[in-house]
Amino acid sequence: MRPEELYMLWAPSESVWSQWVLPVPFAQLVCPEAPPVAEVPQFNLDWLPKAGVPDSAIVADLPGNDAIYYGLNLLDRGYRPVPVIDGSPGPELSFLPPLSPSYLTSEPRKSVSVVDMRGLLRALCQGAARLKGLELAPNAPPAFLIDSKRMTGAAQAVEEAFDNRWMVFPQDFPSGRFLREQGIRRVVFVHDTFMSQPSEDLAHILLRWQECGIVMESKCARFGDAPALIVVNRPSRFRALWYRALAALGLRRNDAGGFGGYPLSLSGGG
Amino acid sequence: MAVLLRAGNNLPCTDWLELQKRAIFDVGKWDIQCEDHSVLAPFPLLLEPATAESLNKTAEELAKEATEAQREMLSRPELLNRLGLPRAIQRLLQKRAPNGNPTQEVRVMRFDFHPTTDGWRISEVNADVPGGFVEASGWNALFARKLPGVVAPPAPSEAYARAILEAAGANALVAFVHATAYSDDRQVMHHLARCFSRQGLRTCLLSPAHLHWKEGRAQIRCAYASGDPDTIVRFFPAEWLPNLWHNNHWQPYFQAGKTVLSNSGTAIVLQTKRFPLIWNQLATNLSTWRRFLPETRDASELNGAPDERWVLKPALGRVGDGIGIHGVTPEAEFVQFKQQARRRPTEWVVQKRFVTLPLHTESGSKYPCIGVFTINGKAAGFYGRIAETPIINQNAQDVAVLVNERPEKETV
Repeated sequence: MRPEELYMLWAPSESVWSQWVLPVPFAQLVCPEAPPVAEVPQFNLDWLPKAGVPDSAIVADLPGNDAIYYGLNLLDRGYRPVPVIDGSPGPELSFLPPLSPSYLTSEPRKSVSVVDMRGLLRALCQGAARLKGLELAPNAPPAFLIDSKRMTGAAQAVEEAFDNRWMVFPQDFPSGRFLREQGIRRVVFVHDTFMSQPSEDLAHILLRWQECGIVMESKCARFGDAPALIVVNRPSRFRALWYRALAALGLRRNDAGGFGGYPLSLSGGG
Repeated sequence: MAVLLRAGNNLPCTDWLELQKRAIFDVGKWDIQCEDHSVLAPFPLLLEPATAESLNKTAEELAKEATEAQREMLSRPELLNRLGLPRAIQRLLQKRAPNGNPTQEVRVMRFDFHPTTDGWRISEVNADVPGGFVEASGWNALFARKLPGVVAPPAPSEAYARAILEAAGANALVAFVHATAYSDDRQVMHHLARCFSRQGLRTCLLSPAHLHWKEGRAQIRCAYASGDPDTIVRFFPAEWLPNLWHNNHWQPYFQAGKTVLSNSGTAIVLQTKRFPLIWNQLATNLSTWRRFLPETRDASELNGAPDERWVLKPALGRVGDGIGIHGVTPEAEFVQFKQQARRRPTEWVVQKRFVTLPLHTESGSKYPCIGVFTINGKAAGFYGRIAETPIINQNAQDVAVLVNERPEKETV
């Protein structure tokens, strides 16, 4: 499957949320031809009514492929999965080996990238089968999918590795005003374990939405219990000038020294 | 110089969406959305052939003068004190100045032109690591296919590849050095690497930490590649290089060596907005610069508190960061900029404000800026941006720049 075919399945032109599907991984990914159908893990969605909740958006901040699988699970509840993945998989174009159950379960070779995105990419490819021919309303509520390992990656020396860590920024998401215009009044933040506060980079987005009158809730992906109401705290440098640059600098400084980390400004280029 | 520029009509939505898709997958434009607005404008900027020619000619004159000025600055260490450079770089350049052989390089610059009430003016030169290749090469060409009677300007990426090929030879290995984690920068490297590969060059995308230096020659050492690159295309700003751990990781970017550099780190002496502060001490003829760049002063002359006639700018700001204009920059931000300028005046300048002429578009009035690339001194293409305000920053849209095949009469 060509990169753009996969992208158009995840970002169909009729969906109001497609403009936030970041092309970054799709443009660097070639799915294997006719991959064998692999099992998509099931998550407990008992907390959601079968017909979904039209005024609720979901932000699934889960590790690697789980974020994508969670989004695919949510299709049955009428949600539009919106992958917001800003990481480049590897140093060159990623031509994945044939996707097979044995490949999925076998121990992969050590990744040359700090964040091993192979599982996530495979999940994106797997999703093609589910998304093909899918009929969702153009304004189906969004489930934004992000990789919770985006800033940490594997515990390995990064000096010689391909540094592909990334962060989320308010510019990557719709504004609170836009969400409200689409009828969104509540956002459920889903994490691997229950968290009363999102990660710092995500807090910059969720707090902006909260300030627009959108209610914030949090829940753990593993259980079917109802989400809990949360109030997102003010992260450091909230709305600060050059937040993006300063946050990025922090990531680079905290690492083991690998360069290729985030630069000091919005872009290295002028 | 004639000021002839207008905005074309919006493309039909379906055509524009198709173009956006082509931009992503054919030319490597990945940052297509910024919060609620599209990064790519649905209309083009249309230039008269004479205007395009005039912009090219001016950019070439500016590049020629800049190159000569850079050579003179590097040979006169006493002048470098006023440029607001990071201390480590200033010290290094002052140390090497007496034997200041220019580093072997392929030189890329981008001059940003604004249509103003006084004709075209430039706001700056991106002399260090200019961006905009994806849009100037890819988006312009894609858009031109949709409209009759226009042509796309030359593609700077192709010209760049040819210049490197000429300097390094066929099958040369080119290392694209950038902040690999930053996808906005990576897309530029990805795009250029594709162009370079088509010209028969070998390419490798790296972070600066993956390059080691031995006797003036770069060597790749990382988990996924090895070899001795013949050329380095650097998209990692010169002022960040001293953050690398060891001197022998970053200093070679500022010195003559056996690996072709594009650009050499010494470009920072032109990149700094404080370059005009030493014009009067230079013997180099800078008449074109004097004509097109507004008067620039040390921020301390106005105590970091410019009135509405002046624009406050950080010496090494990028993508419009830190620019303060009365009535345009939000007041809270402007206050912070002024505080910073008062605290560290040697890192700021004030520049006479010009009045940019807005263009009428189907999406309302917008302020355009046309970046003209030069490669080894030759004009190489146009990069268009358009904004809601006279400041061109990260909220600006990328806009195709096309040239009419035949002259029109409409003016700004």
